[in-house]
Order: sequence, then structure tokens, then C-alpha cells
Amino acid sequence: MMRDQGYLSDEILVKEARDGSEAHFNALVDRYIGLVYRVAFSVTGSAHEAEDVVQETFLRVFRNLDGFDPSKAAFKTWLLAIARNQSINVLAHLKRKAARFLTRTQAAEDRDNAEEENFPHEMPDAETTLLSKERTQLVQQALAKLPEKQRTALMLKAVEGLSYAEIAEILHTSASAVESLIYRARSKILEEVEQ
Amino acid sequence: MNCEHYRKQLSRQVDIDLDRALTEELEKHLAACPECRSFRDGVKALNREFHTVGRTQPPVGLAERVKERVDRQRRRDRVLLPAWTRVPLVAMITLAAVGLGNLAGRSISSMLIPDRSEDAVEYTLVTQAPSFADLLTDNGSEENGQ
Repeated sequence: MMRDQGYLSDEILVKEARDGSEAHFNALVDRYIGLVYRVAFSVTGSAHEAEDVVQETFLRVFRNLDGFDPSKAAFKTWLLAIARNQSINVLAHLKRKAARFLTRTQAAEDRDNAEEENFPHEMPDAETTLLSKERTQLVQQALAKLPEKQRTALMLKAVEGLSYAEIAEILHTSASAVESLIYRARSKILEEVEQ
Repeated sequence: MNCEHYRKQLSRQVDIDLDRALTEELEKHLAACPECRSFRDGVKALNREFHTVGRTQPPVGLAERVKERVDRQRRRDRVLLPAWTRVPLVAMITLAAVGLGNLAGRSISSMLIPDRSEDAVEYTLVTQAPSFADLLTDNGSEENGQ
């Protein structure tokens, strides 16, 4: 009988998963699938591509779990670094494949769809009612225009609440560089929105 | 201090707790600078907005699809030989190749490193061939004479 593994720490789940426990690996999937999906979605701007990135990321994690060194990085930052690299590869492929404007149109469509799925119009929450749909779209467009590194840093901070140090590990940079990335991202979005 | 310096600190303040002295310095600047107040309000509004629209959830069933795919990979891995058996296997293949090479009358080293004596034989044969002048005067060597 399978027990709920949700209460165990990442370290224990990783150790057991390494020893071949399917249940413990699946608990890691359940714990991080949302985070990995949002990082992928933030980088690629496409729900469809984000889904592929999620699958590839966890497959890669499974294959490389033996090589993961917990003394060098936390599992979460290691996982998100893999997810980001996968997403960047997909984004580069998309850019080569399609004309730039087509990619943007798709991204806007995907974001609209995702927004509708998560925030149905018949049940808006208090926050959403305060923000007009127009402004939300402006913010999303401004976000899409940011360089990937700025966008990812900002989303990891503002949405996921990761520390500067954790984001620095994922982006392979320093914590002070992360601060600057986030500051520049916010300034650019505000400039765009307030124009 | 210019506004950019304060705005960087305001961006930090949204994310982390600044120390008391820095917070007081910021408050003092904000009281006198409407542009920076507007920046602070804008950043706070953006953060609220990200919390609302940014928490996109993965499609229903994605977790199950991921688990199934990993499980397929796990089953494939079980069919293949485990890693520790691969080392002796490679060693056995190498030894077999060496053995077969020896059986064929040539060692691996002789196949990999060209034998200088073969070049010497070739050189000798070339020097023993009739010269152009020998052919013209029909004065070839015994071995090559027609």
C-alpha cells in the first residue's frame, strides 16, 4: 500500500528515489510540477511547449538523479536550473522555426487561455476585479518583451517567492546580479504600462 | 544620492526586509519625491498582480503523464544491463578482439602501428625495377626481363 510521501523533506525523497522508489520520485513530481510548469511557461510563453518542457525536465532528473550532489545544490534549485535550460532550448528552437511575430501571437493566446482557465469570469476574486483586463494584458505584454533572464528572475521572486540566493543558483549568477535583474525588469514593465 | 539608487532599494524592500537605518532613509526620500513614491506604488501593484495572474496551474493530468513517462523509462532501464555489468562486458569484448587478432596471425599492435619493414620491402622492390633507360636499351634485370 502506497503511503503519502508529501510530508517528507526533499533530501529524503531524493535519497529514496535514487534507491529506486517510484513512490518517492512521484512525490517529487507532485511537489514541483507546478513550479517547473510556471518556469517553463514564463520562459517559452507557450502552454503547449511548457508541457513538453515539464516532461523532459522530470525525465532528465530521473536519468541524472545519481549525479545530483546535495552538498553542492538544493534539489529545488538543481531541478529549476534543468527546467530553465530545457525551456531556453525550446525557446531557441521556436525562434528558429517561426517568425517572431507568430511566436508572440501564440504566446498571447496561450496566456489568455491559461488566464481564463485559472480565473473563470463568473467567479472573479477581489484582486482581479481591481485590475482591469487591459492592464493585465499590458503587464503580460511587457513581461513577454523582457529578456529571458530578467523575466525568469522576476517571476521566481514575485510569484514563487524564492530568495535572491536561490535564484542566483538557478541563473548561474550572483545574488547582487539577481537584485539588479529584478530591479531592471520592474522598471521596464512600469515604463511600458504607464506609457 | 539619486533617485535610481533609492528605486533599487525600493525594489529590494518589496522582496526583503531592509535594515532600520535604510528604511528610514528611504522614507525620508519618499516624503520629498513623488516620482519615487509612484515607483514604489507601481512595484507593489505589480507584485500583487503577479501573485494573481502568475500562478498558472499545470494542465490537469500532466503529473500523471510525467509519472507514466518516467515509469516507461524505468522499465526500459530494467531490461538493459545494469551499469556495473557493462565494465566487465567491455573488457571481455576488448580481450576477444585481441585474441581474434592474434589467431589471425596479427597482433592488435601490428594492426594499429604500421610495420616499417614492409616499407623497406616496397622500397627494395622499387629500386630493383628496371629503369626507363634499361627498358629503352632492352637491358632489364633478370627478374623483370621479358
